[in-house]
Amino acid sequence: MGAKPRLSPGRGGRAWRVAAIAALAVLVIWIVPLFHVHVVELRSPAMNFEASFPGGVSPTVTTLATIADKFWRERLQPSAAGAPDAAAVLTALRADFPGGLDRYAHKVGLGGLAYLYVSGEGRVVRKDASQILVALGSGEPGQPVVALQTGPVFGNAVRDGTGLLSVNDFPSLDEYNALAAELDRLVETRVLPVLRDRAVVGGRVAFAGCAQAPDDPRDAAAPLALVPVRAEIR
Amino acid sequence: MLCYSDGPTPPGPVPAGPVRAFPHPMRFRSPLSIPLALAVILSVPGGCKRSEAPRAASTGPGKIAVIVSTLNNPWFVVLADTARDRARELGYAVTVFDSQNDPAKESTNFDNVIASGYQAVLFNCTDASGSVANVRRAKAAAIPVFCMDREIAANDAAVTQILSDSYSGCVALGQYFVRQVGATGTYAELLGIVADTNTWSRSKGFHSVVDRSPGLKMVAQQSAEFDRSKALEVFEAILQAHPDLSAVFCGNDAMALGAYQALLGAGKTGQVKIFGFDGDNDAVQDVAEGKIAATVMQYPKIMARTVAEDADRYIKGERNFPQRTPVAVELVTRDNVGKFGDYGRKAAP
Repeated sequence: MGAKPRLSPGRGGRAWRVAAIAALAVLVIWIVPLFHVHVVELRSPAMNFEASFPGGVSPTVTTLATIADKFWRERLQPSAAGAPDAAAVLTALRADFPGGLDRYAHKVGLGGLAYLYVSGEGRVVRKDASQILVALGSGEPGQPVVALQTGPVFGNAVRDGTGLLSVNDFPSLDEYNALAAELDRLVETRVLPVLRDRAVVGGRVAFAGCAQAPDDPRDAAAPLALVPVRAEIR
Repeated sequence: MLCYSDGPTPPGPVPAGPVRAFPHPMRFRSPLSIPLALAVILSVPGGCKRSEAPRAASTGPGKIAVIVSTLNNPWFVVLADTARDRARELGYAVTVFDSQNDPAKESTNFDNVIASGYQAVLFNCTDASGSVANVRRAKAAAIPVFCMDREIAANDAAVTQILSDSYSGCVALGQYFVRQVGATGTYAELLGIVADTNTWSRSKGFHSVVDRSPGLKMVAQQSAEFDRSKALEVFEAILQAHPDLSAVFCGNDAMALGAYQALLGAGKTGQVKIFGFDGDNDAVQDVAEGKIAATVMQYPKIMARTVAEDADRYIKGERNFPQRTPVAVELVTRDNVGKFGDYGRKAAP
């Protein structure tokens, strides 16, 4: 080992002071950083129901009924009044089918299916065993028509139509599918009796509901088959 | 805590003498060296966390494994081939592993993949619950897994799961079934593999509708394990026990084709309506010819391409994937069969 050059006491002292200050600054920044970087997880603004299934176990019928009721009261009903105007949506689909879908339809996952969530008011022009036809607005001929479904309700239109629920808020597809059936049951017990019992041809009805969007422009002219989530006879 | 790599031990005997504080040959010659070194080390983000990055291939293109439940069914062949082809287009060397519907073979496939330096697995499971352990083993070995078509029963094992919305498809199929069969009649159900969630999603969707028609009675429900030959055998026995059957709901098209063979053998092709699921090319052709009443088109090519592209994005650093993404399916009947073919919708003219 050869002899090392020695630093003069003055230079060495300054260097050590600078070094000590720098080390202290690094230590302070390490302990109290100026900023944190967080990875933001994109989630739907929906309710997260996964916590309702502790341990990811399959929910009981009671749990699902509770969840469906909570969603119905706290999210679905308050959102109904703000759903897009049915007449405007149908007019847009007839005028510019792809543009109307882009503006108003809600797609779930991958694939071609899209859903609509609309509200409106109109005059009952026909009442069948399984549906009520409502001409929107004043109910004059030529106005867009919706077909409020009053028979048994099946499928995912209510679950998927509003965009308020996401499959990733649930432990698995099984629970998500069971919720769809439970929401259909709520429509049958809470909404359909009002329409079946009190709607009359010529009378007026206010509604909100979900539908699978037509996948062909030619179908846009037909009455939109709507699963009602809210109905009021006026 | 600092990280380091252990270098090779120098050959030869360890020199005797006192242990030195810094046996490394590097010396801190300047007083600034220590704080500067400290600053450099501390500035490395993430500190010493175990890397979640997938394994990098040592040389050449990265490797991706496609592990598929079976290649004894044309639908799954399309799923596996499309995943393989898309991954190759993205620059990877791809190997397809056939689990032959056997969880033990699937486990062996994962053993091979974990030992062989693959960067990702595109996975179609044999058992929703039993396959979770395999996915966890791959994850522990820093090999990300991307599920396609069939769901695994865990939210924290696979990176993402691209899944057919079987329930919705069978709700639509059930409604068509009621319209075609009518208010009264007897029917049988051929279930798929009982450990697969798709089997029950389809069955539950179908029954959510058909069970509301009290005049429609299910007289037999039996698994044919998504297999055409088993369906032929099972349905022959059902036909003998229930000669007046009106319809049969099959959990996939392979079983629907097997059921049709059984009807041919029994001379009852016009009597019993067959309903399938998958959108298999042969089944779509049979819908067009009226041999099968309806099927449901699910989109294996969309699912397979999506998982291959997700794996590529993951390998390149993206981490923000939803756990599940449903893929819409569509009812195929004689009225709209012209829109479908080649495992999807035909392109618009």
